Amino acid sequence: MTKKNKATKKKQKPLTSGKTANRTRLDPDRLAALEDERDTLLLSLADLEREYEAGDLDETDYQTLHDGYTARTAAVLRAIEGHQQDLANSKTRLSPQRRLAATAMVAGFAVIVGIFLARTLGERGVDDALSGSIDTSRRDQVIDCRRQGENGNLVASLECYDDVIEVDPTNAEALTYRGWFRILQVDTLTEVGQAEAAQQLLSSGQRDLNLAIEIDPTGPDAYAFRSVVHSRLGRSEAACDDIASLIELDPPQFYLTQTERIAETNSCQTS
Amino acid sequence: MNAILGFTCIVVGFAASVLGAGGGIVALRTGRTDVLRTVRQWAWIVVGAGVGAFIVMEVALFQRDYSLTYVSSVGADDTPALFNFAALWSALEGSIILWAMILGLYIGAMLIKFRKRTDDELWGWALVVMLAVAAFFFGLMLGPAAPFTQTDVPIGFEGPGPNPLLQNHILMAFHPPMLYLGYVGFTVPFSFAAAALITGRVGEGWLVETRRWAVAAWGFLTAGIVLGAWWSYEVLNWGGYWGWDPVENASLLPWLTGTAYIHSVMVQERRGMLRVWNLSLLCATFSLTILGTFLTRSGVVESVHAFSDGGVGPWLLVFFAVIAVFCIFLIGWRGDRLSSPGSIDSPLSREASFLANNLLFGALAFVVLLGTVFPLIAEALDGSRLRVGRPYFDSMSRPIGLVILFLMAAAPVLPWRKASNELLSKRLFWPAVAGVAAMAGALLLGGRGFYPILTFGLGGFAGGAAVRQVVLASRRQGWRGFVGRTNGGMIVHVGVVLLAVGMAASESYRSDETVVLTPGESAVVEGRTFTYVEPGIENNDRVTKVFAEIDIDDEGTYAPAITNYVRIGATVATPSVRTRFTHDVFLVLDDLPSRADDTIRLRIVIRPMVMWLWIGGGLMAFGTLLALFPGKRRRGTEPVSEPIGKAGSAPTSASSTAGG
Repeated sequence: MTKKNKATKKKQKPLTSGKTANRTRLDPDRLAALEDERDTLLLSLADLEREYEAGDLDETDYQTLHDGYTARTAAVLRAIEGHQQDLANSKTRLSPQRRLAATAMVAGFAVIVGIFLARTLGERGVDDALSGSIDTSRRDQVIDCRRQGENGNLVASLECYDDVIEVDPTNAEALTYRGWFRILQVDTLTEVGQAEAAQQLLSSGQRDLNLAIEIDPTGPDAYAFRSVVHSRLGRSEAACDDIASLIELDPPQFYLTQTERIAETNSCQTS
Repeated sequence: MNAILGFTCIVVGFAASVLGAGGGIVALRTGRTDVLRTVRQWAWIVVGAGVGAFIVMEVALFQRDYSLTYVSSVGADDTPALFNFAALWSALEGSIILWAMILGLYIGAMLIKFRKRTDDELWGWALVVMLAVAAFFFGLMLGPAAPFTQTDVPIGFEGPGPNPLLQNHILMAFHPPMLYLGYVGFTVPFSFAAAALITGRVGEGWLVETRRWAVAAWGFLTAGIVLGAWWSYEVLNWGGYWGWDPVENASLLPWLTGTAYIHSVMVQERRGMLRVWNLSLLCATFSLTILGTFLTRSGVVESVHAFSDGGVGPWLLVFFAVIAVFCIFLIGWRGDRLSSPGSIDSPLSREASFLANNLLFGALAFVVLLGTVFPLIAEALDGSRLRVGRPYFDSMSRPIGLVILFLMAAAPVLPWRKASNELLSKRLFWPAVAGVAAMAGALLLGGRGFYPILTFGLGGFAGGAAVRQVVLASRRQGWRGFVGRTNGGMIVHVGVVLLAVGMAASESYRSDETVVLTPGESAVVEGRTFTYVEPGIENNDRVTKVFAEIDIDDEGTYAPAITNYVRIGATVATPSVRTRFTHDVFLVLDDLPSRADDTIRLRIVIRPMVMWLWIGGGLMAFGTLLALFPGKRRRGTEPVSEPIGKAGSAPTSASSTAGG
């Protein structure tokens, strides 16, 4: 479609002058349509000039078309101006009192929100959500704690187990693994010269394992871990007792494989 | 083969969306209508590419094509068909495919609807914006979220299957697609809003074109959120349905701004007011859907709902920023013509109540947004690891929610422009009776507490007003009294009332106890006797389920379990829930039965009226469906009344279809 044809098509569109347009509605769609029409008419005028200069139009046709386009463009420009004037006039400004009241309300609301937010802010632990609380079951928590420990994040894991044991002091699995992860930290502390802290950790780890076995004497993990501790402390007899208890539970082969070296080191009778 | 086909779909989709958007911009800037028409063809290719990628991935999942990295990470030989189908959206890459496919379907639907308006500038720009959004998502699939990459797996590999939480309940097959239909659906009104700003046609024409699309997207989002809450309740073993978790909040935020929009848009249609506000709300809603996707899929938040931690985070954040800047620029640029022709004449008018409703929804959105992102901002600024507790959200949302309930009662009976006291007292009489009756009934039944009783009262008030409207409309118009935006909206209001009442009752009167039982032992909680019969175990190749058989008085046998998904090596507690009209009993094992004597720690949660939430959610979705049907014929942009002081002026007739 050529620009000229487009202009002809636009010609069929009724044109509302700025004076007769309904200003109460302040219709931006109508304004946009008028601007579109203005652009098309200006393009058509430019086309007309080119065609005239190229000799495609005689003087009479050129003058007729030129006058028509010019008149329509002027009408459209007046209509646009009228719309823009209406829009400018319609801008309502809030009175200073209202503005002040609105500002005070927004500020007051922001302060209230801020106070409530500050009151409920807490420290976010590992695996805690940013907001709200969906308390998963103890089982899920224990699994999370263990996963953190197995990923090498022993401190976070111990904190996690502390939380579980605080609520459920007889959770044998949590006690077992807290004890074991405590013992795993002993070497690190010893290496950095914190012998006393290491000793405390070793004792508390052993306490956890003892308590876990007391609560649930059928848990193979606690026996396996405690046998390792006894072995390292040179208590061969105690280590062998734990391995014997472990074997009595008929645990999966995995446990036996893991404690095989302890049994050999301490010359335990495992047959 | 699947990898090649899928990758081809992604490349073609990306190329077509870029070429379509680019071609569209050139055509619209130069007035080349012939080029503009070709954009439709590019758009159809984008539709085909989105649907194609989805089909290829589903085929790969069902063929257990473990040569695809994605299938090898979420597929498994023995995953049941439904969960295998749903595995597509169980991780990042698949969920982006779902997004692209749904966006493709929306683009296809728009192409059909506007098939006769190929030269319309407004539609042209809207299509360009939609294609630009499509280009972004197809681009993600070419980069950080590539779903069709290949891998080597050992012979005999049988796959791990999806995350256990995502193959634990049938709702997982419906909740994410619904949510995405809602999220992506808001692209349509957003595109038209952007097109209106670009073309300067910021009157009411674009609203008429998109109002049903916005309502439909809102309905899908509502259904998605309610289904998500239901899933959370049935699967997550914490005995609740809404915990203000960041991912829950991420879905709520666009819902809040979307709800504000579908109310305030009526003020613009009828009175030509709130133009900037409506455009801003749509921009905010669409931006928040991207922010929600960022929170869910970037790995930036720890959440039970956040199922991936891919590398899309920075891209989504940049896209969010681009949209925000784009919107602010456009609104600022067109600010001169966004003036409204009138102002609110009286606080006792429909438009004033809608404005108040919008301020409240805006305030609530601000509260939720601040509570969700504040810890992220704090961490980014000074490294402090903070969390915002649930009491913040509860204490801020409760009063706002109650005022919204009050407005839900008042707004439907208020006329546009101004109401007389006489008219109000007449129209509010029966709703007020319903409210008082609800409060009295609750007190008689033993209900106590300020918030729940007030909620029941305001719920009765709002419900009464909604039912009054539907009854009057159906008397006047027969079956048409149930359809159309206003009448369907009233059904939605009834759903909201049920939901609010259900939440108030189930939160305020819940009982939550943990008991330790050995086999044969009983505990009495809330007048019910819970007897632990014995533990049991069920095994198959897929799961090992250790359960405890619990008898409850006349309510039968429950079997809460600890389920181990063998292939993935993950263990989850599986609650046993029975939902009744008056109350729910929710049992969950805190841990495996003790090896020594099978002792269990059993958590018993009894909540009244939880079912009302699901019925309410269903009614909201049904009401939305009714609202989409054409009601009584009336031009949407015709004002119902003239501004005061202009009554004698000529009646207005806005252009009904912008550029049409």
